[in-house]
This record gives sequence, C-alpha cells and structure tokens, in this order.
Amino acid sequence: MNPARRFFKLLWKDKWALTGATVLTFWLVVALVPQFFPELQDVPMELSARLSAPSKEFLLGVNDNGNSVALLLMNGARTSLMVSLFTVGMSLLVGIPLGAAAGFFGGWVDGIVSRLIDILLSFPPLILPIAITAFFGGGLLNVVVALSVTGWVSYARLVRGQFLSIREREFVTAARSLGAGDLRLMFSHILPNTLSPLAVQATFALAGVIISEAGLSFLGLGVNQSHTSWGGLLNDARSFLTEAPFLAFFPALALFSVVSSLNFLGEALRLAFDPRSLSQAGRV
Amino acid sequence: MLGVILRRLLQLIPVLLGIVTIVFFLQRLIPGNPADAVLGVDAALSAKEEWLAKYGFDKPIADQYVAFLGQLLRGDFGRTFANYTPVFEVIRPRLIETAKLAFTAFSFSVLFATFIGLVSAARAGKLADKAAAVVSVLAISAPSFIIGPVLMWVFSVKLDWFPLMGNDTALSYVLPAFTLGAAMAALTSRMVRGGLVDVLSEDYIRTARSKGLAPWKVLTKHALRNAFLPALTILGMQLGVLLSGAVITEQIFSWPGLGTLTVEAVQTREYNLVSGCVLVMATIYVVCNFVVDLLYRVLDPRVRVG
Amino acid sequence: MRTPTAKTLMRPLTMLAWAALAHAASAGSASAATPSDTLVVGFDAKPKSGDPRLIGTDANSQYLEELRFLPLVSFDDSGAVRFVAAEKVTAEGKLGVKVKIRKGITFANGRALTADDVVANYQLQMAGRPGLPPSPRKGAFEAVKEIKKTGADEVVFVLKEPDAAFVVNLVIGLLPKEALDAGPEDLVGKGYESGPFVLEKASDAEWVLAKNPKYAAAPHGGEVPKLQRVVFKVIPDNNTRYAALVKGDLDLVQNTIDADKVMEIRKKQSSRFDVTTRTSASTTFMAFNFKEKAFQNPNVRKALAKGINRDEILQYVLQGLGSKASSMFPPGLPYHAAIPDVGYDPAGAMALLDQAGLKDPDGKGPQSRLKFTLKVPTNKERIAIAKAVAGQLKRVGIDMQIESLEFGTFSKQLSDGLVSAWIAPWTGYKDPDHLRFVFHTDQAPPVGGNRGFYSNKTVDKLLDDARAELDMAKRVPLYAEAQRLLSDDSPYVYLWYKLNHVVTAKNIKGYKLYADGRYVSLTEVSK
Repeated sequence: MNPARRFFKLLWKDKWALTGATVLTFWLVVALVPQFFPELQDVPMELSARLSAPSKEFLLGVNDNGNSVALLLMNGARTSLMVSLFTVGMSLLVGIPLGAAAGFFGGWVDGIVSRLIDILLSFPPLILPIAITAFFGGGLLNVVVALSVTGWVSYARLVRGQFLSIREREFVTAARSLGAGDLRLMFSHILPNTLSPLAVQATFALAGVIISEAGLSFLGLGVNQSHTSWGGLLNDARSFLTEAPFLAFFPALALFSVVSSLNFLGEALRLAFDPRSLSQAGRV
Repeated sequence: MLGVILRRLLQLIPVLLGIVTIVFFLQRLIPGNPADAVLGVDAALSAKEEWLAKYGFDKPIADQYVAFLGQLLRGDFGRTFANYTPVFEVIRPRLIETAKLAFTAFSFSVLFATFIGLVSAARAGKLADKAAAVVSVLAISAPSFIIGPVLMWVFSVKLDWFPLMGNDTALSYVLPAFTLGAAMAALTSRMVRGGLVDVLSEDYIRTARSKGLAPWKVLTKHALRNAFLPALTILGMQLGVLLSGAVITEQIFSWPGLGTLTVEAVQTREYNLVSGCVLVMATIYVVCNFVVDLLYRVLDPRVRVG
Repeated sequence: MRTPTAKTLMRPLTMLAWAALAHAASAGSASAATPSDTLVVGFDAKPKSGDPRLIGTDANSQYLEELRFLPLVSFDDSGAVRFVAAEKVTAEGKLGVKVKIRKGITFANGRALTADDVVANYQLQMAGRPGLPPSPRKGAFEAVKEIKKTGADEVVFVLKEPDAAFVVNLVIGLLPKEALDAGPEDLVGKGYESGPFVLEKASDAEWVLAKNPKYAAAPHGGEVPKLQRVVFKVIPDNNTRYAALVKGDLDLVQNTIDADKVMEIRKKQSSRFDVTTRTSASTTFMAFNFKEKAFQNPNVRKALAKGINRDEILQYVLQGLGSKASSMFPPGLPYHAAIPDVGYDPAGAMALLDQAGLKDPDGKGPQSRLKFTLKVPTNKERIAIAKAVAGQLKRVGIDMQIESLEFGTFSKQLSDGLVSAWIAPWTGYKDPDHLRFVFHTDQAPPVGGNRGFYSNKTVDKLLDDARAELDMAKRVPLYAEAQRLLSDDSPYVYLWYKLNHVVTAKNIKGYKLYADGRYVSLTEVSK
C-alpha cells in the first residue's frame, strides 16, 4: 500500500488525526475569509466597549484597543498560518538543496555546509531574529526571514543524513552505472526517499513556527501592527489575565487547536510512512 | 578518543570565528549606534562623534574588524559602554544565574519526562497514555509567556506557596523552572515513550523477560537505557539552549540571566557585551553537544563518533 | 506490557518527587513582608551606572545619583531650579556664571566639599580622564571656556557665548576629588557619598541604598532619611511588577505601573494602596515631517489635530492619567504659555481636508483621503495610543498605518529625519530653551531635535533672542510669542501632559511626587 493511501486510511480510523484534519480545515477556511472580504481586514474600534466580555454583539469579547476579538482572531488566523506556511516553505527551499549537496558530494562541500549549520545552531536563539527584525522592521516577510534563517538547518541536517546513507545503496549505484548525472541522481532517485521524514518534520515545524512567532511577539519583534497574529493577541492579553481572562483564552484555544492538530497529523504521517511502528504503537 | 577530542576542538575554531564575525557585522548593520544609547539621541552631534572616535568607531569597518579580532586573540572582551565594566565581569554573575535555572529546569524535565514516558509506554493506548499525550501537546503549544504569569498569579500571588521573584530559597526555583521546563518535559516524554514502545518489542527484552527477570528490572536495566538513546541528542541540544538563557522566563520572573542580558545588550548597542555573550553561549552549546557525543559512545558501543 | 511494571517503577519516582517537594517546603516561607525600617521600590530597569563620571541619559541612574551625590543644583517638585550644594548662582558679566558653594556639606568620609572638588569634577566632565571614556554629559559643557576657582567656596564658569539656560547643566553628582582617579567599580563603600544615602550593594536584581550616617546637617534644606534602607528591586516586566505590588513585595512604584492597573488598584485595592498623581514635565505630541508633501499644508496638520479625540484616549487608554495639552510646557512651569485648545471636531477636520484638496473618494467606504505611516517604538502604551489615534483618524477618512520599531532603530531613524509622522513625548524640561532645540531651523537633522525640518524665520529669531537674554522675566514673553506663532503653524499636534503617578502601600507616608519623576522625597518617607 502506498503511503498516501495508508495515510488516508489511518486518518479515517484514527479519530484524533481526523479531528485534527477537520480543525485545520476549519482554520484554513477562517483564514481565507478576510482574503475574500477585504472589509473584514479593517477591524473597527470602539474604545468605550473595551474589555467587555463575550456577548451577542461581540461574540468573543472586546480587547483593550476596543477591537472585536472574533475579528482579530480571524485576521490572526490568516497571519499566523501564512507565517507558518511561508517559514516552513522557505526553510525547505533552502535546507533541501544545501543538505542534499552536503550529503551527496561530501568533502569540502559537506565541510562548508556542516560548519555553517554548526554556526547557526550554536548561535544563541533569538539573537538572529532580533537583529534581523531590528534591521528590516517587523513586516510579515521579515518575520518569515528571521525564523527561516535558523529554520532551514534542521531540514538540511535531515536531508544530509538521508543522502549519506542512501547514496551508496544498490539502486543508486545501479542508476549511476546506467549513466544518470549527479542532479538526476539527487533529485529523481535519492530525494524521493527522503520525502517521508521531511513531511513529518515539516508538519511538526508548522506548529513550532506558530509558537516561535508568539515568542517574537513577546519581545515586540513579531509581525507589525498592521497585521494581527495569534501570538501578538496572546501577548497583549497577558496584561489582562486577571481582569479579562477571555482575551487570552480564545487565542490560546485557537493556537492550541492548530498546534495539537498538526501534532496529531504529524503522528499519523509518521505511522503512514513507517508502518513498522504501527504494530506496537498504542495510538492516542 | 583523544583524537576525537582534538578534531572537535579544531572544528570549534572556524565555528567560533564564524559566529563572532557574523555578530560583528550584524551589529554594525543594525541602525543606531552606542553613542545614541549612552549619550542619548538628543545629545549634540559633535559630542556623539567625539565619543565614537574615542572607541575607534569612526574608523573604516575593516579596520574595526581587525582591531576587534586582535583584541579577542589577546583574550580581551573589552568593556561595557554604559558603566565601563569589563565584559566578562558583567557576564559572569548572569551566567551563574542562568546555569542555576537551566540545571534545575533540566533535571525537572528529565525526571518528569522519564516518569510520564514510562507510564505512557507501560499503558500504551490506555487512558493514562492518551491523557499524557493531550497534556504534552498542551504544554508544547502553550507559550511560556502565558504559562509563567498564570502560575505566578495562582501559586504566588493568590496561594502564596512560592515567592514571586529572587532566588534565595529552593522554593523560588519552582515556578521559573516549571515554566522553562514544561515544554521540554513534554517533548522528551513523547520521545521516551516512543523509544520504550519500540524497545519493548525487541527480542532481547522478550528474552530477558522470559528468563524471569523482574518486570521493573527489565524496564530500567534494558529498556530505559536504550529508549533514552534517541532522546539524548535532543536533551543535549536542549541543555545547550537552556544554558544560553531563556529570555521569556527570565523576563517574567525577573531572573537576571544571560538571555535578558543579551537582548538588552543588543538593544543598547553594547557591541562588546553582545560579542562576549554570544561567544560564551556558543562555546557552551558546542561543549554540550560534544559531551552528548561522548555519552553516546559510552552508552551505545555501536556508535562511533565521527 | 503488564501494568504492575509501571506501578512498581512509579513508586520510587513518586517518593522522590514528594521528598523534593517536602525539602522545598521546609526551606522557608514564600512571601516575606518588607522589613519595617526598609522601603522597597519597584524599578523597571537596572540603573546602567552608579558613577557620576559615566552616567548619561539613563533616568534610573540619574535618580540614584542624586540620592547619593549632591549636585550643585537640582529641581524642585514643580520643576524649577533648586540650589543644593550651590548656595547662590549669579551672573558675572555677560559670560560668567558664579557659583557660591554652600558651607557644611560633607562627604561620608568626613571631608567637607570645597571649591577644588567642584572644579575637579567639572574639569573631568569636560576633559575626561585617562582610562575612562569621555563623560556622556560632556556635550552640556561644550559652551564652557574655562572653570576658575575664585575663592575657597566660589567657582566661576566662563562661557563662550551668553547662555541663560546654562545653570541647569550643573546637576552632576559631585565626587570628592580624591575619588576621581578611582575605577568605576571602586566607588562603593569608600565614603565618597555626600547625599542622604550611600550605596550598600548593587546587583542585577536589586540596588540597596542605606542611610548616610554623616548626612546630618542637611544645610540645603534636605531631610535626613527617616528609614534605614531603600531597596530598588529591578523588575523589568510590567505585569510582574504589578503582581509583586499586589502581593506585598513592593512598597512603592512610581510611573511604571500600566494605566489600566492603576485604575484597577483604585477600584479594587484602595484599602491597601494609595494612588497619588500630579502633572509631570512630559508632553506627548504627534509630529510631522515637512519633507512630506501632504504635511506641508497647514490645513492638513490642523485637520489631524481636529480629528483626534484626545478625551476619548485619555479616558480609555490612559485611564485618566493625563490632561489635554495645547502647547509644549505644562501648566505649573513658569514658562507655560496659555494657548487656546483645538477641540475634537471631525466635521471641521473633513472640511479642512476638503479645502486642502484631499476629498474622500468614497465617503464611508474603505478608500481614504490620505494615507501615511506613523512610527512608534515598540512599547505597549505607545502602540495602544497609536492604534487609538489610527481608529479615530479613520473616521475622518485618513488611513494611518502603524509601524513599530525597536527603540534604537526608531531613535536613529528619527534623529536622521527619516520618519514622516510620529507620536512621542518630550520629558524633563529644564528650561524653555528646549523650544529652540525642537523648532529652530538650525536644529534640523542630523544636528538637533527639529526632526520634521520645520522652519520659520520669525520663530528662529525669537528663540535666538530669548536664549541670549539672561533675565527670565524678559525671556518668558519672547517664548510666549514664539509659542503663539508655532500654534498657528502647528508643526506639532499637542496631545496631552502625562500625569506622574505613584502607588504606595497604605503604611507608607510622606512620599511626594516630583514633576520630573525624581525620587528625592524618599528621605521624607516613613513606614
């Protein structure tokens, strides 16, 4: 059975993963709403209603700036999912070729890539994002860049390891003896074999990025004021934990639902690609 | 073994050089300069220029870089601009505070992870396992800047079980260590569980059990050790990360550690201090990873450190 | 896997956990009430330096400096110059400023302050010392030609050109001249302090000041401290500082509790805390860059002034911790000018924008008459203010985007004149000459504080004349006239004067707020 079919079959049987997929679909739809109704991107301000609890008029309450939390949450879904997808996408775009080159060619190529990875890994976390957002400002793209600068490293390491172990396998040597060039070998013979662990890791990383962006928001380095992110909402809500706990509750719930869904899906993906662990794993 | 250590030390040199170089140029690229921070933006332009010249910041950037490297080679990190204190004297107390918190959080999370991981693996698929999974995801997805203040309000302000700041009693470590270690404990517990589930189905475990070995002995003597191997790399990296300071936890619990020091230093353009902090943290991180590699060799004779 | 396995293994771990908890619990009580002879003050940041030779613009460092080392002059609670170690300051000719030093001021090591000390301190500020970086406050003495000792208790500062505002620079904490060669770390515990407090210990977490035993005479009218100790706890996080206050770990917090929390304390904790407020020397304004075409039109600037509902922001965002402003200097300062207030008038704002040729393309629709970006530093309150202003301006058809920048980057862009619109405060006025720094053509970037490139020759002349005039009574009308002209031009939209506020535990008595937030009244506090 191919992994994709196995994944969907697993998904169907696994209530948690299925719920995760449903929740993710829900948020994706929510995130697309402001895309099609641009007037929803303008969240009106009603200062006199600030900090009012959830009501019929304001479904999820009003924040300290007099904005409806429901609308902010919707726009936040768009920002957070976008940052998450773009960051992982960009990290993959950088990490795969570099890791592949290092693993495939070895030698000095590997030396350079590996030292670069060492450098970035041993950089204190947050220093690079701080410097980058200080330099470029906190636009959506800049936050993506700031998070990708170190984000690509894990994929590069993974791909490098896979390439190292696969390049000497029979089917690769066979393809080489048939005259396949380096690029062809790398991308049509070896790369497909690394896709499954990459997919699993990327799924978990999508969740990780959302939390990292929240961390940047805490330091005032998240996406700028013209965007709303869940991390930013949570950080703003931090000041009102005692007076208006609902301000933190709804973004936290949204964040948790997406992060846990991604984790469950990642788990399902792992099982789909690695059926060996299926037999023993007590599914949750 | 000695050869491995030597090779690792040699590899350290380009890494550290790369780091200080990136930090040097990054800092010069960021808008603003230390004169603005120390003299204030409103200070007279001539005063700012003179101040910068005293530190050699008016020279071409290449000259500054060479001077900076020369200074480092002599083991001189320089002094802070704000109080003219040797950089290492500023870093040392912060490093100690960070280490105290990091090791507390680390031990807490390893202990917790082992416990939860064992229970989950032992009861794989049962209610306890499912509950552990949900709690783990919760811990991973809740940002520490929410966990921290919630813990603080409930357990310090309302219940008065723990102090709110300071680190003079053992009690004062509980809340920050928990905030810092929760996500890590969750992550590690999942790994321990996964490792255990895998190991428990291996032949040698079945053999050991069939030989009549007590179940807990099987778990601790054979299973746990092997189950921990995959978690080891992550743990080593995590300790490295913890030791380079936890900005958010430090900020929330007023813990004067390395993380907040570095952020402040970047914000006030304390060039020397930033370089010093980054160099110290990078060294710690590299050493942590090195120790992990050595541990691997000890725990799993099949692994050869490359 | 059978269940007993887990249980048997869990037992030792559980026991370990309990043992750890029991150990922790026996280690001591979680909360300690603050001791009765000690006042605990919440600080938002660690003082960057405790050395008068190195202190620059850092406010917390300056606050503690004044408590430890007496300056020649300082400021009273309303912001007017107050003589401390100086008994009298008089003009000597057009260029001389003569300072007579008060008798009876001693350092904690027992030696009396002399003219030699004063000369040595100020010479160090100007010329530096080998082994030390140049003083950050050196710029203030750029106009000094020389400092002369003219008697045992008399020094004269000779200036290069007349400067009525010079005396406000004499605020540097005085060290005994034998201390001037010591390293910055060698100033503690040596008896170099002449103020009411000496530094007992300083760490990253707290600075502890103890009563100066030799500070008895208080010849300048200052008080002998009633308390033995003042501890300044460094708590960088606003919410944690508030939590510490509510928990009872802090006795006094000044200006660093969020407005919302001050209101919360007033509403729900008034039995435990007192909240005191007073006008501060701080004016928040919105400013424009005249290099932007839209802002060159005075009608546009005036429309913005009319489109901002300051009452609404003061009520909801600042929770009443401010009062509407119409000019630079708050009432209470001797050079405050009574300028009529521009009221909130959205209809008038739209009419002005129509006149300026900025018609609303689609009425209530999403399109705007004018779009610009306002920059603020990343600071919770300033972002909240910017968001409120943006929401209000939207009602008159202006699309104001907000960009928040890291503080150093913001300052740099601002001082380079790269920001098209910004909201910021000016704080800590010492002299009306501040207006020249902010509006004089010569002070455009990168030189001074005229960061929007405003230029008006008549205003320039008035400000130059007022600086050269030494008699304050004659200067005030010149500044008033300049402020009237500035109000017509409105290069700034004045928003409000912030209120200083202090939250004190009920048992704390005698603390007095100063306009510029200094902590000198700590000497009068009892518990």
